[in-house]
Amino acid sequence: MTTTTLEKPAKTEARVKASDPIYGAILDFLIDEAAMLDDDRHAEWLDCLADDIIYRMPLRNSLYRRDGAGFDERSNHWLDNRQSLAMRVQRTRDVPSAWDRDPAPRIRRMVTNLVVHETDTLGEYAATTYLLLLRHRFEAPGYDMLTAKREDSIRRGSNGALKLARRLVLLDQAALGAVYINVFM
Amino acid sequence: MNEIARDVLAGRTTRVLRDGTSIGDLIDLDRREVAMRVLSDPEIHRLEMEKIFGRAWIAVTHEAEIPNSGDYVLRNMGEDRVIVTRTPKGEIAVLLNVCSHRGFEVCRADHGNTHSFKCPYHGWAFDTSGNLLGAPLDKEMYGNWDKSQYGLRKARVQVLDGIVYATFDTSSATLEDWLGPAAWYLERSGNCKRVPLGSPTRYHVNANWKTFMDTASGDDYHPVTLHRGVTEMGIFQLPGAPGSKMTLTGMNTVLATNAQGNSTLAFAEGFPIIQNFDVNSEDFLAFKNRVFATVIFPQSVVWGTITKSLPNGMPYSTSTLTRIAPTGPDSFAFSAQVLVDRDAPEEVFEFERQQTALGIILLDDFEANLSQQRAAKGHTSRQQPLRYFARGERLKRTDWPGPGTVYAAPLKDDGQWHFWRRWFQLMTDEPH
Repeated sequence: MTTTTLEKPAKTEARVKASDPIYGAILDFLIDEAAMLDDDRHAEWLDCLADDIIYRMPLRNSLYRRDGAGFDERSNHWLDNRQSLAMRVQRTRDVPSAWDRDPAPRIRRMVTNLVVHETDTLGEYAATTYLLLLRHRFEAPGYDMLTAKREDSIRRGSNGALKLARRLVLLDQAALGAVYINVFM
Repeated sequence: MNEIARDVLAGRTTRVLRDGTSIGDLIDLDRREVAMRVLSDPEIHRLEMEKIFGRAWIAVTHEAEIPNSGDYVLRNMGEDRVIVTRTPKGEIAVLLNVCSHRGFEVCRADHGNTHSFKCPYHGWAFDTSGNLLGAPLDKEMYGNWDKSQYGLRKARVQVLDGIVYATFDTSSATLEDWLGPAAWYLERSGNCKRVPLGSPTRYHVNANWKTFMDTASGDDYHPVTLHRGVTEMGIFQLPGAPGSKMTLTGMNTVLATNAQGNSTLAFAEGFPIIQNFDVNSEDFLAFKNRVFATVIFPQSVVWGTITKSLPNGMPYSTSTLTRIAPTGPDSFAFSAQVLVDRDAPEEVFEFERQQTALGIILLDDFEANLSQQRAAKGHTSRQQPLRYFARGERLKRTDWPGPGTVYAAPLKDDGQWHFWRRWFQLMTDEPH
């Protein structure tokens, strides 16, 4: 694994309207992606990723406003490339002794509030979504819950299919309220 | 005379719980069993806050997390919240985050830099040493008052090998008393030369704090089953796992325990846990007799280091400071902070930011903690014993250079039993 570049194409002022076909294509892509993860179709999900995917979920702190939003530049819940994401998929799907995965948890990802902007790279778009992730296990009276804002870079691959090139997951919780360290957001 | 008759803890007068059960009824020193009730009983939890967390030296941070005057972090000591600050004189202060006036929390951020903490309620302001600087309209309110009487409550602070420990205990017991022989191992962990990679990773886990610390205290019997997924993924070959050439008894580790309930897992020559690791290499030999993990009762673990290497082959080492804070009888706050050599090249820091294996191993441990906690709720389950009867007497080693009661190789419960004995001793100690 080499040094990870977090840089992504700069978002431009040009917002892609909901009536634009590319907006619809990106919305379909994100909804399909969530369904693949919810339905344990992780191999298909890996196919949605660009080869140079960078997936980052920084740690967060609760700070005074003057000190910023509290995302830690130096440490992460996840800072993954394609290889390490594939390892997480293996842990999620193929490992008999992954105790948190069997019996299978019921995980539901609600993807909303899609805003798309063009970037300074042709054919690459900046897509912001909100994610509500609910997980239910055993006969628990309630759900484990996580919310986040996701800042994605989505581009057209060589075969015309959309690919996820960058994902930045900005969690709302500082101390995670449930054990979510291997759940794709 | 059997072992129990000679046991220094046997026959203690112990606190009686409201239903007539005594603490001594919950632990069987002879059979080495502990009733699961200790994981879920609110009365026991309150007693632990007084008898254990109220007296313990608690690891709160690494000194390099607050390098500059005015730097602070917010931390837990048991269920108390404290501010750990660097004062203008360069000293470290640990202050109860409770206004000396009406109890509002004077610090409300996880970290930052400030010259004072001003209470949002009535405006009392304190410096980074906890001294009261002033209060609005104080002459009208209090006349000629002695401000020196109204500082924030200060904990005693000691630093050992870069880790900051604090206690609100007012007895003369020092950190060295608390650590016992474990200090020898901590001093060899090299953490005074390290700095935190970043903020601590924090989780809330719905399980009693002792479930985590019990496993950490030398349970080398669990990895082969609980962490088998790591082997199935091809990350590590766990000794004793299917397909592994290594056996559990062939693992050349030692566990050094002590009466203070602390334990150190160290690796002797030939420690063969890493797949493809050349045990004859110079890199490896440099790590012989190296500390792997030191568990400090009741709430911290300094995970030492196994050699790692960058993709270009450059070897380096790290450690991880794990801290546990109970947040009730059935939940704890977990915190882990990776420590990297201060002088390491930037590539090491960058590479460490991408490491994920620890999180995957932790998933398994939390799974055990959560399951034990669900079980400990039931009326009948609470009477069920946790069992620690694999005795390591036959494994005792006297040729080890470090202090403590030292056992060779895994396959014993003595590390955890030392944890429980210390728990019992503190829970039944009456103040002097």
